[in-house]
Amino acid sequence: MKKILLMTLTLFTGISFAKLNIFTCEPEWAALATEIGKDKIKAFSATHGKQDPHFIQARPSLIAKIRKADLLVCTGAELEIGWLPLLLRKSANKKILSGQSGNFIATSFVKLLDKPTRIDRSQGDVHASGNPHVQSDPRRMAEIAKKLSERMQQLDADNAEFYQQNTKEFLSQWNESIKKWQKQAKVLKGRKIIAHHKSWIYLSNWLDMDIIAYLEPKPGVPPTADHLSKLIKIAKNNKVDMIIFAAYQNPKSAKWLNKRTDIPAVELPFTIGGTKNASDLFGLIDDTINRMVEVVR
Amino acid sequence: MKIKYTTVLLLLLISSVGFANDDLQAIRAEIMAMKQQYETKITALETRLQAAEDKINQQSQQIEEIPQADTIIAETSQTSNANAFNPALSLIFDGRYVDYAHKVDGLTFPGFVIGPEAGVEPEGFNLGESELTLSANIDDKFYGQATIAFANDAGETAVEIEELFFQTLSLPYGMTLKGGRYFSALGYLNEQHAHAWDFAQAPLIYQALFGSQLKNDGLQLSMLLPTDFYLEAGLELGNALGFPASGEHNVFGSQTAFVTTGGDIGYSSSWQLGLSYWRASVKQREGLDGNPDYAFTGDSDIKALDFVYKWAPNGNNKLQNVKFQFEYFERNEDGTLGEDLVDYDGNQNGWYGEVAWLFKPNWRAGIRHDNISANNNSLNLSRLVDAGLLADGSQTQNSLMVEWLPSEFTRWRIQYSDKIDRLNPAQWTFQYTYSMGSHGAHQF
Repeated sequence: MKKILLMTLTLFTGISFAKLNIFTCEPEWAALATEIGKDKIKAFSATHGKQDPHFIQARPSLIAKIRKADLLVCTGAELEIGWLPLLLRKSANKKILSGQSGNFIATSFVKLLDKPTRIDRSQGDVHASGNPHVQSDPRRMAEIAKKLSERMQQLDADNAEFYQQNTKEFLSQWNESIKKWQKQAKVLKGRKIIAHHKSWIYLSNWLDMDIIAYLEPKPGVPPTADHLSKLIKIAKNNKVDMIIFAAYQNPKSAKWLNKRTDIPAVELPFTIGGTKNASDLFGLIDDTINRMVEVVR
Repeated sequence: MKIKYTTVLLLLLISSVGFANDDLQAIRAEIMAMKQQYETKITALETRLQAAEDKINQQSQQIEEIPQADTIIAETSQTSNANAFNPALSLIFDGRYVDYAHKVDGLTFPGFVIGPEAGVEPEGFNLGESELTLSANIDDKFYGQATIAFANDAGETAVEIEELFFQTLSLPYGMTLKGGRYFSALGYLNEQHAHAWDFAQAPLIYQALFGSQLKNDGLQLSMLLPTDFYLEAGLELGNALGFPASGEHNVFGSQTAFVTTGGDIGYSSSWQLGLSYWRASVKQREGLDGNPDYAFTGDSDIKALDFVYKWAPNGNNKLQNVKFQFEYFERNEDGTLGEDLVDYDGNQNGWYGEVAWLFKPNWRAGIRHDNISANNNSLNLSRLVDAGLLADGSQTQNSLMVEWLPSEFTRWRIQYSDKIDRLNPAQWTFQYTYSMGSHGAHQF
């Protein structure tokens, strides 16, 4: 009887004796939170690796999850504009509202590239605050890791030392990996690339690659036959090394161009779970670089 | 020339012989010292050079190996201006072209009293219902939203407050309080604005029961239960001043109760199920042609069931998706008609089922079947007939639509709805809907 009473009490008062409950918008943030919090947290991702994070529905299941979150970790920069504001309003959870310590927007802690000078929807799906897809630059990820760790320490003081220690270990391992990746990716320097969407600007910035064109005629606008045929000419004139696309994107256009130009089309994980090997943050960058290096060799 | 050099050489020889041995040694020592001095200086310089080179190498290695913190950290200085606090603004522009198979006088559904908002759309081109929405967080505790609708009403532009409400953001226990004017949580489609519907016209049962949609002037308290699955329950209190209720009331004009649940099935499917109930005590609700003999006074209640199922491969609804939607409504009314208090027992129900399929990224098609029926009773049958409340079985309609969606902000739709009965002919609707301004988010 006492047990039942206690259970109902916990159920209705929302007292949580449990782990720090983290709701993330994308799987890379769930992975990062897990590196820092290990078994002391419970991380949930609203999207998975085969899903386009721009277009998600504020589904009942997500409302149930976000209601119980202690911390919200999302990309920001308008990536989730079509669904997160509604989810937040439906959450009835004041801890994670904008401006609260339970609201962590990753892109607000790093410098964003590609800030549009003209904000006009005739330019496609433009993000006014800059390109949101920062997860492919491990240097930025390191910076976000530090900030996220600080936030987690602030919210869960009991485990602060644990988080701090894990972050230290993660970062030293991560920085070692960055050195390894940079060495490995030297062959990619200056390579000319055609990308599906503007998803790889931070990757190309980090590895000094040159993305010269996109399969999408404008950001967020699906590739058209007309635009693709123009790309054939661009590809031939510029000695393009590869065509890259994210695991969640329709591979049809990349394959079409590959067939006509013989330029290899490479599927990249984009986030955790995008490919089999991208099972954690290390795997994500490992696999991204491996897949590209493989075709230029 | 040759003579000159020889002379110089001779002179030099003579002079050197002239130097003492001691002097020579002194000079030698001096040169040696100088040489040593230079050597140490050169070695010192060499070490410094080496050190400098090392440092440069180290630095360049650092550049290569360690993240350049200063180029990736966000700039702290952010510009701000007075406009930054403006509410999010969006304008929905809805235009139509309607073509009927034959002339229609007015919307009628036998067995139902049609509300003042329901009406026949004019034939030809018309601006449908365009709306302007402003929304913002008012402070840390409240969110506010206003939707002003502009509609054409017999050649004149009618401006109407469609919604104007506040909503709490920080109540405990998953509770939210909403107040003002808002679309009631009765049913599923009712809470959505007309431009978000999958067909140009509301389902027949919505038109028949509410005119178009059920608005509530009042309060709504809802609670998101702390269950692992989605479970929300709520209550509404309304003033029940307007259709489908009527008359002045004290605080408790109308009451609504609703429960909604839902979840996912794997990555590709999700569903939502809702049950809701509405009741009001109605005073003198205007009947057919405004005739006071047909005005209803009594108790009215509506029960509703709604179900939505959505499918998208891997949850990527941009490329392809299917939506199935079903709603059932039943209204029971018990009271009197007219001032002579003729007994009246009204039973009306209806449902619709629709499937909409995004078969290509920019193309969508849908089909809807509507069914409404009424079974009203009175001891005074002639009054029932005169008031248009005697029903002759159920009425059905099928609608088909195809949409072109070049972007998230544009929709062109062509829709065909077949004939309901002699008075409600088949119709074609061509509709274009544009949304400008802030990026809206649609409910599930």
